[in-house]
Amino acid sequence: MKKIQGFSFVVLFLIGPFLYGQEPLRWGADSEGGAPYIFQDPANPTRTIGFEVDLVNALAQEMNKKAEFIQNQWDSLIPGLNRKNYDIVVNGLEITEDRKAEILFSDPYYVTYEQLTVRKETQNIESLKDCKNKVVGTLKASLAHRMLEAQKDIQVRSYDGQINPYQDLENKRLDAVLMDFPIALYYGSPNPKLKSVGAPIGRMEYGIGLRRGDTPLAHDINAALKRLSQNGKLREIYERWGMWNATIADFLNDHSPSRIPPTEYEAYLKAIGIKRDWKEKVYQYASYLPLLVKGAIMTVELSLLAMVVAVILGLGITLIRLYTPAPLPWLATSYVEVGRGTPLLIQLFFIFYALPSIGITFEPFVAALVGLGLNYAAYEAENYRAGILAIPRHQMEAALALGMSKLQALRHIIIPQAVRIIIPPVTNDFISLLKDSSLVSVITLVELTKIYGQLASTYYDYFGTGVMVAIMYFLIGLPFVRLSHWAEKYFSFDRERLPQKTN
Amino acid sequence: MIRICDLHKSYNGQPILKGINLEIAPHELTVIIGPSGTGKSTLLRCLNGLEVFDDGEVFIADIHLKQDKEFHEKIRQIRTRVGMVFQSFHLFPHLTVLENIVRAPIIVKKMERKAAENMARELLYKVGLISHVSHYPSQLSGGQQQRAAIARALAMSPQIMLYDEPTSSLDPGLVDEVLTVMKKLHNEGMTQLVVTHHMQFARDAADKIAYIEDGKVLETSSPQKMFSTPSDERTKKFLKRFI
Ligand SMILES: Nc1ncnc2c1ncn2[C@@H]1O[C@H](COP(=O)(O)OP(=O)(O)OP(=O)(O)O)[C@@H](O)[C@H]1O
Ligand SMILES: [Mg+2]
Repeated sequence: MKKIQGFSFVVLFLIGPFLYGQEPLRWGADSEGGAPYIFQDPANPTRTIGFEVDLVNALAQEMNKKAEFIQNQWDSLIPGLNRKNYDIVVNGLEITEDRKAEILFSDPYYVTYEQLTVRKETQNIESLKDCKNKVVGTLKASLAHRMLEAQKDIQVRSYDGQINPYQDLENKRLDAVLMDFPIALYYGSPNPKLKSVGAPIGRMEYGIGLRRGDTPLAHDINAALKRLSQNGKLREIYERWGMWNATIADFLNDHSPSRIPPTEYEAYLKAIGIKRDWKEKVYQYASYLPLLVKGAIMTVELSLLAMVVAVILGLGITLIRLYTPAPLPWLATSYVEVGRGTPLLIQLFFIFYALPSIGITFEPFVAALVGLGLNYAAYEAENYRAGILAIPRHQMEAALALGMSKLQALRHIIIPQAVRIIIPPVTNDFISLLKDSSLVSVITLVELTKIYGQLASTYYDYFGTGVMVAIMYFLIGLPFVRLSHWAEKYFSFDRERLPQKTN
Repeated sequence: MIRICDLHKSYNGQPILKGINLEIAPHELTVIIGPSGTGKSTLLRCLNGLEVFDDGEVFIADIHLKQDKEFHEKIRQIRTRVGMVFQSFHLFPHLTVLENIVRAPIIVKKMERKAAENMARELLYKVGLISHVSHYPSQLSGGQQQRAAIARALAMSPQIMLYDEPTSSLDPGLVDEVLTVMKKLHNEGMTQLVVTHHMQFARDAADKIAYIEDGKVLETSSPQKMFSTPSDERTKKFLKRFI
């Protein structure tokens, strides 16, 4: 029996690649984007769930492929698609004319509308017309956002995430919230102090985004979608997630009565609605730890490597700047000025999304390393320069007069003295770099800050999770703060240092 | 040992050395005097290439230095054969006295550390600092620092020693200990060229004195003659308060 099992494993292993097809179905989405699209399972934060996860898995199965999820910031999903980080985008992407100019869309897989939400006691708001002179919140750069902007006399507030607008509505900073129906269903409806009002507003279609020219894949996906809608699997997904309603029934032309209970929606409501006592809270926070540690490891790895790059490159730049002939120092200085004079965020975007258009494509980790390393090299170069210039010129002359070459003088006389001056600012920079590494989440890396966003948006808990993440950063930085203090002390005095031995 | 022929040097079009001619005999202690700002330091620094002269030539430590392709190569050679002592010592503050002395022979001459340290101890004994081997420069008095700086220069076994006002930043009480070392070297036959304002020392210890003013050597003679009957009017004027 055992033997046969072992044998069948081997067979599976051998034919597996043929079963799945050669190419995985690589899909991009933002797991911080929230429910019900794709989000961390509140019951088990190491798991990513959502109706789009189910959809992609069903599609992949139809296409005999293996689904492979690739995380990316929502804003950057299309650039990431074009630089081939993944082949499709499935993340509540509305089919719009603007986007059609940039990418190819599959047939729509879900059709929905905008939903207005107000506080329970609000009586006089039922439509966009009623929102005159009111403050209305929505998601940045969404269809709802454009609809609101198009209306006169509405004060629009746009948000990055979907939790905060509903919180602000509850706290009376907003009078209403306009969001895609699925979002309202998951973030507005569960809140007992809020209610959804009015008729469906507008109509929007979610499509799967592909690179322009990728028509063969689009064709395959459309065929698979069609099969899923005919065999009822698509409807099943929407029913389980509580998203089945008249609009989608019309679209799929399926008006038969509901067959399946909204199990996923209920599980979600249960998970977020649980009132925990402190013991359970501790237990819940403890369950975040594996994820946070994973993020922390990425943060530390990236920061350390980037610092190594910055320290070495910075030294090179400084030496070029101080000791080479004509045009080189100018180049080095320009590098430092540009490096320090432009935002790191822009540099990261540029390296990750712009360079591929001239044929340079880095892995996300490498791109982050290059971005942080190059940026901090500029700062380190400036530190070194200040350190070296602080050494009186006569030290160099004294070394030269003894027959040393310029390089020997630098290595044995100047740099060892400059290091004393340089170490404190360099260790300080490392602490900044550690914190700046949080920016790399914009180029698809999942590090500590990204994990924070994911956990917080899953549990409505910016506070507890925030404290945990802050503590993690603090703990990571602590050794370097201590090192900086120590270095400052150790290097600050020669005069009081006693002779080590008397001969 | 040193011959300087028609040496010219200007800073930003401003001529400082205007045709210096000077000959320095081996084993002698030659003193250069002259008013402030006349180019004495500049002249000394031209001799070991810390400044690059514009025109003329220098014969020093068997090397013929002039503006040619090998200029920089020659300068490095000169520096290994000619020691220099500065007004403010310029010891390396991050190194102990011993390390200050052994670094150059080890790095430049590839001397064995053991041999270099032995030599350094002998030199420190000679300049009277053997008990301060592991001190840092900041733990020494000015006179001790200058003696350490002399030992550092001597560690390269130079044929010639150049001094630029070696006692000018010292408290009066500390001057003699440095001058004593220079006299000691003189007795050992070292060729020395000293820029100084210390006339007493010039008179007592020099074999020859050169008077420089306005970028030119106006007069070279023995101390007796210089301090009793200088031939140039300007020399006389400069030395008036010392005669
Ligand atoms: N690096 C430089 N750049 C421009 N001018 C300089 C430079 N070094 C020296 N000078 C000028 O050259 C002239 C001669 O200077 P130098 O130091 O040789 O004089 P000095 O005879 O040694 O004077 P002192 O007795 O005060 O030491 C001075 O006028 C000085 O200002
Ligand atoms: Mg001078």
